[in-house]
Amino acid sequence: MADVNPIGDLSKTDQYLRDELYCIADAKLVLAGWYMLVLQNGRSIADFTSICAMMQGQYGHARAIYQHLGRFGVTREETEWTRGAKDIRSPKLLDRPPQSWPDFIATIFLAEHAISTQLSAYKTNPADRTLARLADKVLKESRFHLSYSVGWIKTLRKDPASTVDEDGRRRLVDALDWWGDSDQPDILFTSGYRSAPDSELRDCFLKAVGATFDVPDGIASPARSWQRSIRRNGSPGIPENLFEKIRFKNRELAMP
Amino acid sequence: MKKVIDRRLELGGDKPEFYEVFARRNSAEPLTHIGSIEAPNEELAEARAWFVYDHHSWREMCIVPLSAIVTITERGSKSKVKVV
Repeated sequence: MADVNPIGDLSKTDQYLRDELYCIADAKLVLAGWYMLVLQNGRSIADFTSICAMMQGQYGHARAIYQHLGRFGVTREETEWTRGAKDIRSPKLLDRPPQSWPDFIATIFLAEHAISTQLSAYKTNPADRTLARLADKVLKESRFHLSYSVGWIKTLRKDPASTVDEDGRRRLVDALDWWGDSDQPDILFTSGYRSAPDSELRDCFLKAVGATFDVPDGIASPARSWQRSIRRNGSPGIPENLFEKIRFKNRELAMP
Repeated sequence: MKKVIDRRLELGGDKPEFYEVFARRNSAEPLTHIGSIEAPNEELAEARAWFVYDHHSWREMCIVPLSAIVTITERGSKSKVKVV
């Protein structure tokens, strides 16, 4: 597959690292958009405050990781202003907007876990201490995002008619698309940038999710056409209608 | 998404459940009562307390269910822990 953002003179490992960080940052950008879109569905002022804080947190993390991509020659203009729907590398899990409050809660639980699991493998990265510190800080802040979703799942389960478990099971299949094809070479692990291979991180994710949702035995996401550079099957990019909702609207006001 | 609030489920039943929030900015400061938060369970209380009382980068924060507090001077009355 052709690079979404070709930048010459990068080693193969640096290209892989740039791609993976792009995927993580874009996941946070789209997740921030989700929080923004559902903000008014908060249940109380404390809930509005929490959703606002999580939105701000995700935007802040995305911005910090985009800034780190400068190491690979990626500019702020590219990350924030000039990319289109086809260039966004967020997980398939976030393509479909939330269908209900329980669906929203189940999805943010899975998305927060998926992103944190992947980022946790950079926490002890000796090759890039800045990235390791950034990962550590992001993970500490994300802990409260997980508490929020777990608290809501427990609350919703008190209602026997709640769809939260069904929503979680359905969304889990899409969430696993992020770890796609474990047969592909994992250069970031073998070169020491990540402390665990993708296959192990996928297992960690399933174990963490299994503490809250029932994970069916042998659940698998078909490899089909998984591409490591975008961490998803199929064509690159997110749906145009989702991009329209989350995109930066007034580029001309922000461009220097 | 249509917002439908089930007060019994989402706000912790017919009577709201409160957690008292205590924090300190550094290890030299005493743990101080900084406010309270309404939540139906510990996890949501933890998240809401962290996000609502974020005016300092706290060194330590903890929550206590209001129902766990034993009143001494106000025994028998309906008095709650007061936010200063």
